[in-house]
Order: sequence, then structure tokens, then C-alpha cells
Amino acid sequence: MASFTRPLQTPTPQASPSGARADTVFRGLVIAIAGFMLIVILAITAFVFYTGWPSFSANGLAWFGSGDQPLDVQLGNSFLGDPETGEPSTVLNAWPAILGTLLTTGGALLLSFPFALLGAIFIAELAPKRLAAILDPIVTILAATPSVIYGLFAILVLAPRIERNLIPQQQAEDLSAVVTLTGANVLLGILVLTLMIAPLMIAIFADALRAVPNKWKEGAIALGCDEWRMTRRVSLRAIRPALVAGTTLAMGRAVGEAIALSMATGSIGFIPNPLDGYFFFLEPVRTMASSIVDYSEGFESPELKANLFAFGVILLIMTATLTIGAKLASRAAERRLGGGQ
Amino acid sequence: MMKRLLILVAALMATMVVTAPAFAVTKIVTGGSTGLQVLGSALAAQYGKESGGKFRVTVSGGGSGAGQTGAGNGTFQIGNSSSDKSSSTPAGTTFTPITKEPFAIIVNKSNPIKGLTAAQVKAIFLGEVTNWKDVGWSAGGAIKCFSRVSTSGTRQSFQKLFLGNISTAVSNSCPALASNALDRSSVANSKSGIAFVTYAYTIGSGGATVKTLPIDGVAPSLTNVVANKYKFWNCQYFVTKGDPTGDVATYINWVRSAKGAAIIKAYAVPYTGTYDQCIAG
Repeated sequence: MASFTRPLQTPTPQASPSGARADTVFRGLVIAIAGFMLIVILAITAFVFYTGWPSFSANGLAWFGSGDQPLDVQLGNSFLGDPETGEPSTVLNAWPAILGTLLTTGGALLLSFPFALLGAIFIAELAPKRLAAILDPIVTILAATPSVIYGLFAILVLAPRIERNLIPQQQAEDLSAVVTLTGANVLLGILVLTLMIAPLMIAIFADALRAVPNKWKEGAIALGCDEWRMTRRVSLRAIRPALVAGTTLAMGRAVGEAIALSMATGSIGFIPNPLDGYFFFLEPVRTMASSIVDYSEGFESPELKANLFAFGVILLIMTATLTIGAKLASRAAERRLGGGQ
Repeated sequence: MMKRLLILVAALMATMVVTAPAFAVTKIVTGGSTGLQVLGSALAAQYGKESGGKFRVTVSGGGSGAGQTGAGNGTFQIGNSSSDKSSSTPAGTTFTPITKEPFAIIVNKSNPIKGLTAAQVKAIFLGEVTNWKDVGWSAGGAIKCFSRVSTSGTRQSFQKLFLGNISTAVSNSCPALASNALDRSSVANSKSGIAFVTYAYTIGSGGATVKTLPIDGVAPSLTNVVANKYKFWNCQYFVTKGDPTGDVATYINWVRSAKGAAIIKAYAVPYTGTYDQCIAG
């Protein structure tokens, strides 16, 4: 895994006549491959924007609002046609899906960051070597586990327990005409995302912590800091760029997560009502990414296709902004730390 | 070093050329309905075997809609569809019925009710009845109905069969899940759950995780469909652009023969009627 702390000193290449030619060829090859990848990415981006555009142009700014009709009805009408006119409908007010994405991603970040940070400190600084050697690969495996596995775990193991223990019968009955409360809901979405992204964050944070130069830590100890103060004032400051980068990577994974959330969040494009208090988190949502997988069977309808690709456009913009923002933020953090070795 | 790299590249290119088909088999490309995927693959395997490897039928998924569109634009020589013609069906396609597939209502195994009437099923999925006590389970509490996304062929057929019209939508308070399998596991995990699935999801070890309800006193089974007792079934179709011809026609005729029926029988009721007979019920 890449380390996000300061780069090592650049090694000076050993010049030799036969090596020089191979270097040129190799460099050309790498540049060609990189150029090809860039073209592919640009083509994909252009395709997504082009396909999704009709949805934005038909709805204008109302695209981002919440409409009179539930999200699922609108998506259904763009596939089956408006029940009154029979014509495929282009109306889409995507706020429920946007809110679903924001709620699950935001909740998961808030929940996983403290766990990930403390976990990383434990693995990198406090755990006995032998324990760390066991924990390290476990974290890596968890970070690389396919999301559908987490989705299955959520729907088969967690959902029944949430439904049995957290949803009182009375509340379910009161709301049953409006929305079906099941074990799959915002809370489960947040939990499954947390399970998915925390290992990713731990892996990146721990790597960065290990890369903090020992002499810095020894210096702090020599000045009389205890271990906790040393971690807080030296290590955590030094890895700030990694904290930003790791969190952003995790956020990117969470925003784009489709399958696990399609299984875990309750499958209704519902807007949870904050007035319901604690039940806010037990109401269902359907995120943008999971709307795409859930409705992908209907791609033969141009209207539905445009709507789903419009979700793709928003997701692309969100992840691109996150990546660029993280680059800038982690650079700024690095600069504030001061340059020299 | 350079030479070795060049040799490697040359070797890679050579493999690409060599992997082109070594001998000619006639390929029939089919795909679409996920509900027909298992049956389609079983039929394809048997047909390939009987033809001594001369024919290879490929089966992919994508959904009934994709099957119909694919048949219209030539992606599939045969498009699989579990739903009837609709407004988005490409013009000029022919629907050849292959099976009658029953639709079933499933509930949790701890649900004590013995069955429902068609009217009760309709009221539940329209959101008019939301408590189990109104349909005979006094301690059941709120009904948790599970539906499918509106693009699903299963949902459209359910709406046609139980709600009276293909465009009468299931209540929006029911979660709209992405697959039959998710519906079944949701019901298996929710004491007060109810859902509609195709017959294939009520048999085998998976089917044993839920309870299948008789409707109007008749259990959803292949025998009851054959005997014309269970009325909630829909045809599954092979869709072609124009009437089937050549190798495709030969394959479809084989599927509709006794040999095909022997395989279909494990999954659904073999059916050789016409499209209009299917629609008429």
C-alpha cells in the first residue's frame, strides 16, 4: 500500500550506455499506456455526461429537488410510461437518492473515523509486534473484501437483529401505511459502509504512522513527552496528509457503493423524516449508486437510461471533486508541516 | 534485455491469433430474462449434447426488457422474456411461448395463516390492508410487504395477475427489491413479511426457507396449473425478430418438442400454445 507521508530521497540513476536505450523504450511504453488509459477515462466521462444530459435538460434545477411523486414512481414512469398519458415520463426529482447517498456516506465517515484512527494507532504504535503481525493482514483482507460479501452479511445477519430488537411493533404498525419498516434501513446502510471503509482507513493510517521517522518520536520522548502525548503531538501531526487522503479514498468508496447498499438500505426511495426522531435512522433510503444497479434491467427505455446515467454524472462529479480536494488538502497540510527532512 | 521484451510481446500476440476458433460450431446467441436463465441454460446444454457439439446455444441475463430489445436489434438471435409485449417492445418481434410459469405468494415460516384469497393479496399489495389482524393473524402486527423494482418482469406479471392490470402499481410503502432472491430472503428474515416470487423460488432448499400460501384454497404447483386450478401463471417466451427461421427455428421446435418438455418439466409447465392463448389465460 502506498505511503502518504513525505517521499523518500530520489535515488540518482546510475548511467550506463546500454541502459540508456532501454530506459527510453521503457519510458515510451509507459507513457503510451498512461496516455491510452487517459483517453479511455475521458471517453467514459464524455459518454456518461452525454447519456445523462437529457435527464438534466428535461428537469432543470428541479432535478436536485424533491418532487410530488416518490422516486421509485418517477423511475418507474420513465420506464413504463406515465399512467395517464402512456408516454414515457422524463420527470425526475432526485433529492431522495442524493439524500440517501449523503446520509449513508456521512454517517459511515463519522462512525468509522474515530475507530479507524484509534485502531491504526493501536496497530502501528501500541500493539506487541506479534499481534500487529496478525492484525495487519486481517485489516488488508477486510479492506479488499468484495462489497457484496458485506451486503450479504448485512442482510442475512444484521438486518434480522435490527428488525427484532430496534423496531417496536407499535411504531411499525403506525407507519405501515406510509412506509414498511424493516431491518434494512439507513442505520444498516451506515453500519455496512462503516465495516467496509474502516479497514481501508486503518490500513492507510497505520502505514503512515509507521513511516513517521523514529528520531522524531525519540526526540519527543527525550523532551519528556509520554507515549500518548508523543502520538498526539508528533505522529498524528505528521500523518495529517494521510488522514485526509485515507478519509477521502474511503469516502469515494462509500459514495460509489452500489451492491451492498442496494441490499442494506431498505430499497425505497424514501425521504426519512427528522421529526420521527430516533426512527429517522430506521427508515429506508435508496442511494444514487444503488438506484443504478436496481433499475439497470430497464436500460432499453431511453428516458430511464438518461435518468440513471444522470446519477452517474453526479457520482462522477462527487468522486472527482473528492479526489482533487483531497490532493489539495493533503498538500496544504504537508506545507503547513514545513518542508525539510 | 530488449530482445527478451520483444520476444515476450511477440509471444503474447501469437497467442491472441491462435486462440481464434479452431473448428466451426454454429452458435445461437440467446439472453434476457433472468427468470429464464437457469431453464435456458439447461435446454442449451442438452441441445448441444444431442447435436454432438454441432450447435452451441449461449444464454446470458440482463432482464426480460433486454431480451426483447436484444431480439429486436439483433444482439440476441433469441431474446428470453418472462413478460408479455409492452409499449417498449420493439416492433416486428415474434413471441413464441415456451412455458407457463406460476407465480406464488410467500410468507415467513412462523406465519400461522393457512392461505389468502386473491382479493386479500390485492388489498395487501395495494396498501389497503396493512395489518395481519385484518387477514386472520391477530398477533401478526404490521404487514411487511416486499415488492420488486418497476422494471422487473416478475412485478409486471404480478400486477397483471393479482392486481388486475399490468400498470396497476404495487403500493410504494413496500420496499422494491432488485431480485426474486432478495425478496425471498427478506421474507425468510422478517416474521411479518410477505412477497411475490416466481414458482422456481418456492422449490428446493431455498424454497424451504419460506412458506408458500395457497390462493383461494389452491396451492401454486405445476400440477395445479396443468389441471387449470391455479390461475396465477404467466407465459415465458422466446422472442425473435420476425418469425423464427433456419437453425433458430430448429432449436425452438426442439424446445417445444417432447425432448424439450422433459427438461422444462423440472422448472415450469411446458407450453406449446400461441401467444394469443397465453394472453387470454
